[in-house]
Amino acid sequence: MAPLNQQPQLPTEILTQILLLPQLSIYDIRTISQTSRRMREIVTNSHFGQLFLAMDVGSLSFDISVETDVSTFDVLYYGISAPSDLESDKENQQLQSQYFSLPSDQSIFLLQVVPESMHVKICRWKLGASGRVHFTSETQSIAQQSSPSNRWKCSLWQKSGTGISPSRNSINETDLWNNEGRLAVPSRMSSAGFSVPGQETIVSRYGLRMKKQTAVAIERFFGFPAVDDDYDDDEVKMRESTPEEQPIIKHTILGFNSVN
Amino acid sequence: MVKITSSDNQEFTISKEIANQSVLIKNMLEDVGESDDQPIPLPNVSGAILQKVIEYATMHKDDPPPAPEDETKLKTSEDIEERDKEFMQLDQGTMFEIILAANYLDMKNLLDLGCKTVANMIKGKSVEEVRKLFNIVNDFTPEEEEQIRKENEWCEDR
Repeated sequence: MAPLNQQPQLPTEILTQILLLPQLSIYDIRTISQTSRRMREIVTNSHFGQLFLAMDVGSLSFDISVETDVSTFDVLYYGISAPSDLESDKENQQLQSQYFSLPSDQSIFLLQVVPESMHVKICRWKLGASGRVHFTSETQSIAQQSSPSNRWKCSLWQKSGTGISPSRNSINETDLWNNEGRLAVPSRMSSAGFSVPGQETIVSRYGLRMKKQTAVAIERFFGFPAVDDDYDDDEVKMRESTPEEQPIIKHTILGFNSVN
Repeated sequence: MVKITSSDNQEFTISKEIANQSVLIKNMLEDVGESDDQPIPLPNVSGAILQKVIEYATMHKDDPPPAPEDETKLKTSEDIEERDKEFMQLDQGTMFEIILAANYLDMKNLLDLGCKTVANMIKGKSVEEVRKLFNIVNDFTPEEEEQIRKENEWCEDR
């Protein structure tokens, strides 16, 4: 066996390939990025790395430079409960429980996934003290990207009565509210908006409907399974996460919340 | 039969089905034609490593052709066959050299095996453990380390 300092170094392309293996969680990749300048650079230059760095800058502005044809995007409306101490404001709790009919400490994540490259974008919506929803520039871009070729995205918004036009250059907070004053977002389990005609969809472990590739990307990103193990094309399973899975989810979300 | 020579001029004679597991060798055979007398030079692989690569290729020579990649089939450590796990029970230097050889010889299965093995070694380790495992020198300045620590506060209590 050669002394350690004489051993060959793996080239960047192979290290990058290793980083993309699904058995490495977001935490493992993060760990790797902290070992040396070279490893940090490799992680930074990977899709995941760009996401990490973007998260460091601020959770509400994930500026991921790798861009691709928007028609390949999958959009996932991803709602997860975060620990209650993160959202203690009473008004928020009331508003959230009213508009979402979900736990008052709900945060909502919107994920854009480019299946071919496993490139994931994350946006987070959250009710602020004003009761208004905060959203990101990435969220705006989704509305802008709506077009006949990806009508399903548009329908996601229009279905909820927001009146957002695909031709609009920007949206503002009020656009996210419909005439009844409700947050103009489909409820968590209202998955129709995510069904893409002609594309295979599945129901994930968390009751969300998504493309298979999306499920794989989610799993890679979050480091826990997104798809039911016993998923069967003919018999789509739908269930909520188990108690064992909840701590992982909450923890993951804690991570995002704390960079605000 | 096909003759190949390593960087240290060791010569190996292997069957065509074993040789064809390397896309590089397969292409060379197609380009230059088969010749019993002219060994194919592999200047980037030492004899010791080539021996291991041939061992792997021999072990897998009767494998069925790989199925089209199914992205939903997650490639976890459980996907590594027991015989492959045993094969990769190597010192780290040799393992890295095999990975490099697999990359050079364009042997996808062996490269995948190497990458998955390395990933499994990394999984769940701390920063210091990964550094020690791969002999990575911490070349961050104290200022950079502090910056990194701040960046990573959000996941420290996982």
